[in-house]
Amino acid sequence: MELMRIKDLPITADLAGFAAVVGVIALGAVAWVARGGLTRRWEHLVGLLGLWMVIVGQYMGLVSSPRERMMGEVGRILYVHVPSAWLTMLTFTFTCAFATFFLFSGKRHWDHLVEATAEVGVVLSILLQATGMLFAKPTWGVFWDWDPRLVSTTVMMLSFMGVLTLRGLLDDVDRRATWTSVGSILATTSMIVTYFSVRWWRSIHQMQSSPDTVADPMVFVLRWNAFAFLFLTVWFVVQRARLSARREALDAPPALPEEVPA
Amino acid sequence: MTPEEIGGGVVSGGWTYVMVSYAATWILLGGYAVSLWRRHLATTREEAQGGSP
Amino acid sequence: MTGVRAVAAVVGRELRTEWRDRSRVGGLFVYGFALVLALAFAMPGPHMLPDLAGGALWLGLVLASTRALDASFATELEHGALEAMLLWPVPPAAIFYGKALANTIVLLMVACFLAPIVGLLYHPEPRGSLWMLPLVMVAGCMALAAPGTLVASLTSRARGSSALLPVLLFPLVVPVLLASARATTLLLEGDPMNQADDWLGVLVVFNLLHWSLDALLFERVIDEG
Repeated sequence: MELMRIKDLPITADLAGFAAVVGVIALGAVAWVARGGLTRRWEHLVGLLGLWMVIVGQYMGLVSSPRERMMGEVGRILYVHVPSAWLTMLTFTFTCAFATFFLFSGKRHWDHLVEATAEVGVVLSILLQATGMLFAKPTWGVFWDWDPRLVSTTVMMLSFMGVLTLRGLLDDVDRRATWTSVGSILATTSMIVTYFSVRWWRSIHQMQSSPDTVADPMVFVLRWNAFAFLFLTVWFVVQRARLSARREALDAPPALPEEVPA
Repeated sequence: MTPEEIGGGVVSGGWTYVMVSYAATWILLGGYAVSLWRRHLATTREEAQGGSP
Repeated sequence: MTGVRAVAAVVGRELRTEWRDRSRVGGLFVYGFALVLALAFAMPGPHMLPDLAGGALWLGLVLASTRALDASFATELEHGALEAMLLWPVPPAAIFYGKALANTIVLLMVACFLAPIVGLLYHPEPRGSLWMLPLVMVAGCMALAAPGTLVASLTSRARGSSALLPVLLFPLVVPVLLASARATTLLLEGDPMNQADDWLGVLVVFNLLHWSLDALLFERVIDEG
């Protein structure tokens, strides 16, 4: 089988398409959650689908996909690295969106989703950093380079870790919710500025590729893994949001004093 | 000049890095799933006790 | 005009508070001095110091800013002064702008104090024209003060706030540290490509973003008290 280059993949175009698909799904989900849709346990279906897809996707990535022409076997890392990068970005974008919704509406379920997406985003960004470093070592020769994407995702990860720490240290429920949202919006916007300023400072990153040559088998595996990660992320986020809701109900004082039986 | 001439050759080997990254994926995602599950269990226990002290 | 007068009133109040507690600002100066001194000893040798002058100045300022910002809200909470301030007939945005401006002024004072010390200790050999340096200092201090004021208002209510403020603030101000340190270094070492203008541009964009967005967010924070 002919070997191909991952650099030839239309990664930017693909991310745009992926984001569009996710956006459409999300709009539906948002409308539905706003109607109180978190009550039913629908997410396990999505989670199981994600688990199955991730198992198949890892098999394809490790075994059945062709060797990358320049990077050799190391190119296989991209099948977990690129999806985790996309999902990190998307998850944190949703954190920012949910935080904005919360600040405008004050509805509690947005706060649960903010906490859920922030935490899942941190987990995904740790995976992103780990696979990124493991990819950088054999290809660039170093585990860490001052690449704008590397620095800005690390900064964003630290910001959201800070936000979650802040959340953990606040006791008042309303205050905690508002301040998590404020911190999340700050963290997301600052990430954008960081990206561009670091890019200015040190610009050695490989440009994202031109979408002219399409290497079908690799694109397919990449897309497959992206959707596998997407479904797993949805499962994580919904599970985490449910946990937030349960914890909050548990920690809240009872609304009315219980009646004492005579 | 083609990329082949610039790069001088294919990155050879590197299976260790591949294996470690795939293992990291499983450990992290699996670990997070387990942590969620355990926290849900703990919450169920607390709910059964009728709220936090 | 009432908005401007409200902001001016808040600035005046903040600066009076700082003035009454002069030892705190004095402590900031000493803290910055000690930092700049300690940083020099952490370097491989004196021959590297001229290149580090710009970075040392801004690292000192960023670290000193966390002390300044943390203390400013801590005193508010001790005396319940924030609640009293909310009873003023001023919009919350005016409180934010007033506080942020006052913090900018305090940071500028620290900067004006640290700059000559760095000049003395680090032996930079200015090869460029330094007329833009005050601009960079003002833009940099403003860029530290706006997000700093907002983050300090968030962390001041949390347990262990003095440790939490840097955790939240440092990732936010990475672009500020980068841009102002680069601009200062370029101005000191000569800037044949006029890159300092670009870095000043980064600071201006950062300021525009944070001086508008953070005021809106601060309103929400204040509402929640």
